[in-house]
Amino acid sequence: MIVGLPTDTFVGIIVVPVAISLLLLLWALRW
Amino acid sequence: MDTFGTIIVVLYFIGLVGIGALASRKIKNSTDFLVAGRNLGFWTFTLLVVSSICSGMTILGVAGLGYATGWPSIWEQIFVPLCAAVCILFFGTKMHAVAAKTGYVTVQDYFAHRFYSPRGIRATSAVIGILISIIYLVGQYISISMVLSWLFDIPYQWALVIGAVIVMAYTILGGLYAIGMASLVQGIMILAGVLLVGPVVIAAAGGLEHINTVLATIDVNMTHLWYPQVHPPYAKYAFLTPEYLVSFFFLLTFGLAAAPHVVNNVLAAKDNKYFKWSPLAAFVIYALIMYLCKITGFAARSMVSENMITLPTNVTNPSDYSFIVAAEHVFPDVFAPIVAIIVLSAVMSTTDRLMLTIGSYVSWDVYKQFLNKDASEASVTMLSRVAIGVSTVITLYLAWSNPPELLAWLIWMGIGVMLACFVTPLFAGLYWRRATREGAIASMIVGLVGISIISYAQYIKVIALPMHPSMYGFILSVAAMIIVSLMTKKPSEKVLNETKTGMFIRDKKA
Repeated sequence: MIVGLPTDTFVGIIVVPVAISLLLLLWALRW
Repeated sequence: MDTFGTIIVVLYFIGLVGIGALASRKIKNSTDFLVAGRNLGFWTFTLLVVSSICSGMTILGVAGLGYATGWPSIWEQIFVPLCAAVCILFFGTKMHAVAAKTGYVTVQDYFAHRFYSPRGIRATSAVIGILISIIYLVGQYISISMVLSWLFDIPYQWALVIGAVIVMAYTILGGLYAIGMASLVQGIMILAGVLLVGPVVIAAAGGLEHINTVLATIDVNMTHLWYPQVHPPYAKYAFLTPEYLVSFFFLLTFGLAAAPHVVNNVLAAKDNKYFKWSPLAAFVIYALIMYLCKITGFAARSMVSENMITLPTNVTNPSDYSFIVAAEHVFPDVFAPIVAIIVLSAVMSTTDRLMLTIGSYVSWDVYKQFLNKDASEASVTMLSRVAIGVSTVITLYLAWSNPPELLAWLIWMGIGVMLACFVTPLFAGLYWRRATREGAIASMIVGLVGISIISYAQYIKVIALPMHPSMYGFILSVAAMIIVSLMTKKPSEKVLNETKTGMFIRDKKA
């Protein structure tokens, strides 16, 4: 448990938006 | 709200109308009015896209859904911000580059060009766009009235008229220039307000760990990423199952991105280089706002469980009041106008854009392209303003009686229709050289008919499907596009090259 959430929930809510941000960053850097 | 709070909110309203008056000085022709002279700067453009999407749903509905369903609804906070990025990146980058040469004013201009159909597809798309925008607008006015009548303790209908007059005033005065400038102010208000309110409410509820512990005691699945795949769901709030979330992804990420009041914004950016960083900026800002709103909804649920606050009982949708009630509980009265301004900013920023979308579709796509090709610039701008006024009256009429249950269904159906009708022609038009005029018209009509029948059958409980009805309409529209396009004559190379059609986002040689 992390901050009262099951570990997979915690990882999911962090990893997904971070991964999307990284893809959008990649788009900008490869412009 | 006390006199001080009322004065602050009234000043905010006067400021918005002042922005309209200021912007009206820039209006020299219909392009200025409808696409802000294609002259919006980076932040105005980025926040315009975000705030067009960021509706009444964003603050009230997001916290409300969080209150009712817990963490499985967090996907909404990823899919909706992603829609801003999808719209700018996948639709905007290419359409803006083409529009720089062709002078598109609405997305119908692109459709008419790409699908070599100056009348058929333009009319189909414009009529569907106007209908969806009116339905959606009714929902926005209901949100404005809900907030105003709650905060100022005035009758629902008064609130409706006040909200409508303010938004109509600055939209009619300054067109997209006014909306863009207002969006900049509203976007900053929403961001600063949510950054202030969210963390304080979360701390007052006992912190994130405590909130999650309380959620888990209500239903342990509220702390998971989705509810178990059981059909029908084991509880009314447990509908966010993996299958439903797949349709939620398509509905929010692509359906909203293709919505007329969202996608038309890409034509107003000043420089094509904005499309480099704008997707990331829009996603990060929007995700931050939405995560905080959602967790504020969780905090409100925890506070209700522990008898710290009570939601109103004399309303049809108590959970949608969770953000306001939690903020009112935590902050002294002096902060009440801030909460009011955050919520009103979010609602108004979508309302204004929807009104202008209707105005531009009526004046540009119907009047200028069908009824009077030689219409002067002045008459197109004047008709846009008249159409905004008329659409406001129609919307007020539809929203006048207290919102029926059917309306909530209609609003969700509005987003669903966007997914089923516009997403396929846009993606196929931009990226598939084999997509034909007949394929595009077929995909729009099949999508519309499909979602209407499936949605209605579900509404009257003839069928019970595990996904949102729009998903089935969308699949049908994709099938119609592929089958009909392959059966009909390939588009001319000239049109395909002029519209930069192909499997690339940006033409680096250009």
